[in-house]
Amino acid sequence: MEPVILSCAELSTREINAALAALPDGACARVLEPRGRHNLAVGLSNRVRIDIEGNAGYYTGGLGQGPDVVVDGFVGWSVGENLQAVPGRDLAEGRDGPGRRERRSHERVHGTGRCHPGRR
Amino acid sequence: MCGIIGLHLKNPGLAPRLGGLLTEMLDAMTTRGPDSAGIAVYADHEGDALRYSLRSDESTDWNLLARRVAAETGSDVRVEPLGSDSAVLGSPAAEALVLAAIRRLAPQVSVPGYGRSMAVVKDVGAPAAICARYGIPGWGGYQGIGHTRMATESAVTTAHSHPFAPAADLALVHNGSFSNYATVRRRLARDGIRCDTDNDSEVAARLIAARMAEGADLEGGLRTVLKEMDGFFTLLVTTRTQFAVIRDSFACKPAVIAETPDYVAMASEYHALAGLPGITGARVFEPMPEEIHVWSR
Repeated sequence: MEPVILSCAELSTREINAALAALPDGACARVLEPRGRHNLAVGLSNRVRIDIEGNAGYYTGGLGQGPDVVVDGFVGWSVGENLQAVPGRDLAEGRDGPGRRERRSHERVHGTGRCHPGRR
Repeated sequence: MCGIIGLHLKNPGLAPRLGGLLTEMLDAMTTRGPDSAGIAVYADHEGDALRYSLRSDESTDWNLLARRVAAETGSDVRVEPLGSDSAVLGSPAAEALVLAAIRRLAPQVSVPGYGRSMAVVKDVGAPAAICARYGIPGWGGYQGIGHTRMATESAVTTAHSHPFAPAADLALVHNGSFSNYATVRRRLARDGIRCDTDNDSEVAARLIAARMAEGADLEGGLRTVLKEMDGFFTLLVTTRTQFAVIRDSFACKPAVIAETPDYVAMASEYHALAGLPGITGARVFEPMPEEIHVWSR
């Protein structure tokens, strides 16, 4: 299935998240130009794959159960927080990681774990 | 919560755009601090005159003040009005003389900052409105820092707004809160250093200025904050030639730095940097606890 393309340059965060929530299981989506937006791909319960292509903000991919979220870039605090079920995964792929906090921000989170990158 | 931003240009080609870029960055941080905002902008100027950023909430005849300061200090004074309540006054006379003359001749006028390169404006209200009122988008220069404030420990007034700029060309913006600032303020007072407000961040600015007046470099001044002050902080501090970031021992407050061949930019949150030219190719990182990052021109 061709990925659905959603651009933050054109859509609000609510519009992006509503479009992601409406995807059928097995679908893929690419989120372009995230521009450090907070709350991208949160609250999802469908089995979809979401690629966020760029730097994202706080709470990325959190409060979910089902989607695989991959961020190619830097993320803010509380990425992948409160993933509720085994299928839920949140993968943040950092472009660089000179320090501990940043590596934590980019760590891969599988399954049910709670993840508090950068939180102290 | 507060928002801080800063931009240190390496490519002089971006200089005319500095004010516009700073304004966009500051506007993006409105959600972190809608109470008040301020900005310190550094630009190269001809000659050796110090430039004093003046602010008055009472109607003030800036040209008259300039003539009286000139008469009192015995040297030429230039003045450029800046919005309705502010002006920049340039004088080659010794800074102590000029500051004393302004204080005596116009007690209603405050000096948010001064230096050979730096101008400071700050005010209560929304960051974008403040930048528009003073024409910041049209300002050029080589570096600048800004702050959006959500006050937690002292009043919301222009004087309590950041940046705090207690010495020539030195400016500080702070996200966080200090807990032992009254103790440090008393210690500074014993050395004859007075704060203008009861704000915690002003104490840090004055402490750094005091150490630098004793001969410390900027990094040394920042180490003094780590050693002597308790609390949460991300600080962005600039001098005429340097741009520095430091975080507390627990990195309690956010900070993101982006560096490209053209500039170093810092903000509380990445989305304040997202509109900068070439940002997609930038090296983006979070500074570590207690690490001091300094860039020099």
